Amino acid sequence: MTSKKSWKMRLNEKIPEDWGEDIDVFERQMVLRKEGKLSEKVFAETRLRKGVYGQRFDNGKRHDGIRTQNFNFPNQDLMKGPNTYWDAPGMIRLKIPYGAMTVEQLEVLADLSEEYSDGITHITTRQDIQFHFLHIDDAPDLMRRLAAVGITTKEACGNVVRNTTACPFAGVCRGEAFDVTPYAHGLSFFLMGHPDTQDFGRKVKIAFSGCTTNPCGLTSFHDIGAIAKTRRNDDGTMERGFELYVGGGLGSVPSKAKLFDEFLPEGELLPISQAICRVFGQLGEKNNRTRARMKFLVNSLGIEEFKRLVLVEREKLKEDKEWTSFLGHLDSTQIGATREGTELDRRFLNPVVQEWIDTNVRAQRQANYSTVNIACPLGDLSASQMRGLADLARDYVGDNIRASVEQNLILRWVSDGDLPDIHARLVALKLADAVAGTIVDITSCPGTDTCKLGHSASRGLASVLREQLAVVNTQLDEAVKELRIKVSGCFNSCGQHHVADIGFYGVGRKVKGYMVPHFQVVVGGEWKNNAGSFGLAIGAVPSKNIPKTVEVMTSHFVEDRKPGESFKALIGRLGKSEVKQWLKELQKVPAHAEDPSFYSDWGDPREYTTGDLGVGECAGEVVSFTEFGLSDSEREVFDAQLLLESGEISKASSAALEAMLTAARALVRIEYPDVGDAPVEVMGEFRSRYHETRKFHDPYAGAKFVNFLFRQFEDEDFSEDFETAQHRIEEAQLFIEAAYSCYARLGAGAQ
Amino acid sequence: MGILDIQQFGVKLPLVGGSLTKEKLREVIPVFHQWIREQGRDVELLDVADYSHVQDGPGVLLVGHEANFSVDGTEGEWGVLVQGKRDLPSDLDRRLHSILMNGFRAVEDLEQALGEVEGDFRFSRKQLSFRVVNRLVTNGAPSALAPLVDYLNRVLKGIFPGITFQMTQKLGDPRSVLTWVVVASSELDFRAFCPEVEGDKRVPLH
Repeated sequence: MTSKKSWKMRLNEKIPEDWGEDIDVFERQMVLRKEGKLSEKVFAETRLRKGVYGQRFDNGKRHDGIRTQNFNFPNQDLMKGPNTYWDAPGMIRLKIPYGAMTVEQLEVLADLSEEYSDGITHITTRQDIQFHFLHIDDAPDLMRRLAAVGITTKEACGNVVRNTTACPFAGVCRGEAFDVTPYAHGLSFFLMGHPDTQDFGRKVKIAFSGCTTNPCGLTSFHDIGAIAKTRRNDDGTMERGFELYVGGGLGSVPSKAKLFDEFLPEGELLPISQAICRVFGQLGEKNNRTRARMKFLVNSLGIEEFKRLVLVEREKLKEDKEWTSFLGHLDSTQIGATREGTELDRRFLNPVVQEWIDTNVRAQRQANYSTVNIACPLGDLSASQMRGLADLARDYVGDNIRASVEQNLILRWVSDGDLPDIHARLVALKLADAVAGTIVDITSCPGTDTCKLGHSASRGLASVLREQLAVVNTQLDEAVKELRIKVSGCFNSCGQHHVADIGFYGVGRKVKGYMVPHFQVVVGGEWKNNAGSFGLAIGAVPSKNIPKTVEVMTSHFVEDRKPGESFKALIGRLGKSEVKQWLKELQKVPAHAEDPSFYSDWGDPREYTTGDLGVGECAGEVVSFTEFGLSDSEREVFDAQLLLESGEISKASSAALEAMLTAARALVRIEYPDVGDAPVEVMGEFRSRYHETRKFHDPYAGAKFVNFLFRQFEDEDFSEDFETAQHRIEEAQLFIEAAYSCYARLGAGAQ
Repeated sequence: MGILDIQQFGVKLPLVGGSLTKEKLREVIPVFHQWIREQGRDVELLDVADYSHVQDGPGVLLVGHEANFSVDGTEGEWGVLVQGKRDLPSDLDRRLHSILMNGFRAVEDLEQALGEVEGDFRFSRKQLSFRVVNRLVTNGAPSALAPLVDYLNRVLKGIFPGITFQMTQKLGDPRSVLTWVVVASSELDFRAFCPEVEGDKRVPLH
């Protein structure tokens, strides 16, 4: 039977009310953009905050290797952001806090990848999921289908708090102080949509780790990094808290996070994080996006002054029940075993299974249980693999599934006795490679495949290296096997090349009149100790010589290392100038006539060019909270029109007033960011700050428009006729226009 | 939206003789780039995505606005897939013709372009899969597709007079894309249906 219901109707009861309202609002904003009632810039940041991202070639241009083509999209005049065509395929990023997913979610992701994307579910380097090649018109339905199974895209992109990452072994790790999962969960949802996280100049990334030594949490390069700690108090009780770091980041210039507090009690985690966000929102750079991350603010103020300002801000905060309410049910994020833990019978294990167990399986702290690390090449999974994994999880571990920052999936609470059966199931899914966490298990950002900023084909290179190393994996020296390779398509470090033993990032070089794809070789980074140190580039090598470069570097590691010496230590002992010599021959580029393959990138036969580079959306559009507020008021007045059209006259009148109040509050927030949203408070503040000072008064019409607000506010009777309601809406529109004019008169520096 | 309004249907023409290695599959990449350069189809062709590293996945994909083309290996079955997406003709007859013609022409063009590796790239002329990727409309119920499958049968008979088609629902994982296997009573002459194969003539849809 054919269903004529929309996804909205079909899933209405499964979607949390506030999430559903958010999606409805986004859908209406799409309508406003189509009608030209919402600017490209505001809509761009709006969609970014909903996880709807741009993708390479969305400016309608693509270099085909010979010339630049212009795409002929059906809607040639409709843009979804500055220089970004509405019809151009884009990416959508989901928010998967600490990478945790359920069986049902895996199944829905499989469906969505087939229906709206390219059949691939992609795991990112921050435990997130991305779909590529989506049309923006499909975004609302996709969001609804996600929301119905508990996944949001809210604030997955844009200048907000991004996905909170955490050690995927939290709760089962032998070395952790305690399970950080409920804290990551609590902080993630507390800051999502919080008023104090809406006015950043750039994004904020948060990570949790259960211990100091292992790299699973990578706290050292996050804006806020929290490492679980305990201390024994004088009364003998054990207290939980966090070693808190701030101002870390990768990007083109990596910065190690600074110690903010050696022991932050668990009850202070949320309020201090909120205060950090407030300080960053108030003092962080807004105009120069290249210096707008928190690391620049911490470095310019110094950690002591930054901390002082945060503590001052902390004192000002009004008590919030949410700060500690989650502490009363820390076990709410725990998902225990679904099967009894049994011992593994090793007597009849074949060598292939044994090798896989040695590499991909890690014993939990709970006896007879282990985690299984499923190596996903380049973080990509097909729909049938996703369904197969869902079945596997359902049969053996239930909802104990997490994505890792190494773009893999981890099954937790696997009974040891089930390991051979699980291996067999993974073999059937072609996901049983015994390479997880080894040099073969290379991570990579999207690079030139889909990213507007990519210089070189990071995924193409990672794919080739993976295949090359997989062939020799079993013969590799044990020390080499443990090395990590990470690849980024550009200097922005989404592939986390700075913290790899051997890192690469894409650059272009001109050689005798031709562009040649290259990768900078980065050495000296450390993956262990929560990504304990950052490597430096020692020279650019043509892309096609990178596989040989890996061979040379690993050979030197085997031959030159002292017993027990790490790759980083070897580099430090020999010195970078000597290491650079290893690359000397490999840096040469043959003439085009001699070997044209050097002039195209991995997996892309087009003659290489950097002409496809676009303006990235990682930085988002810096849209002030005032612009957002004014934009919201426009949407609300539009909603008022819809209500009027549908005959809901009283509601339409009420909505018109709401729209004016939203615009008034947006202006008040310039001077008084903490203003509440109670109408009386907004009116009082607006009257004293904008009416009595005449700031709002129109140069020609005087107080005409402000009086629309005052009159409607005083007239609480909304049971009117159609004509009066329409009049109210017209007045609201004029008031909002006046608010925009007022904002413009105040100037860009007003905030 | 009813079943006869949907745009998200596709045809997959199976590879004759088994599977493709990664190396062979990657030979498709430059061909797809060439198709973008030429823009010689009634689909705006945009980009190439290489998923040869994903087992049983979409293989090598040519992303278009109205439809995607791929040498696809989903569920372990290799073939040329043309999958409709959006902005195809509103008339169902034209929509089906467009997807079928693009599928047939893709087979002809790929075989011609990769002639040097003859034997690896031979696609069936007797069988195709018809798949619908719109769970809102199908709601997981194969019976929902019956009117569309009947329509397809009529269209195929019109294109290939004298040939009969056996339509069978493909059974398998009920969560997968709903698929019908279409078997022709004799080999189909794709070239007769898409004479512009040898030319470079684009039929605009908009």
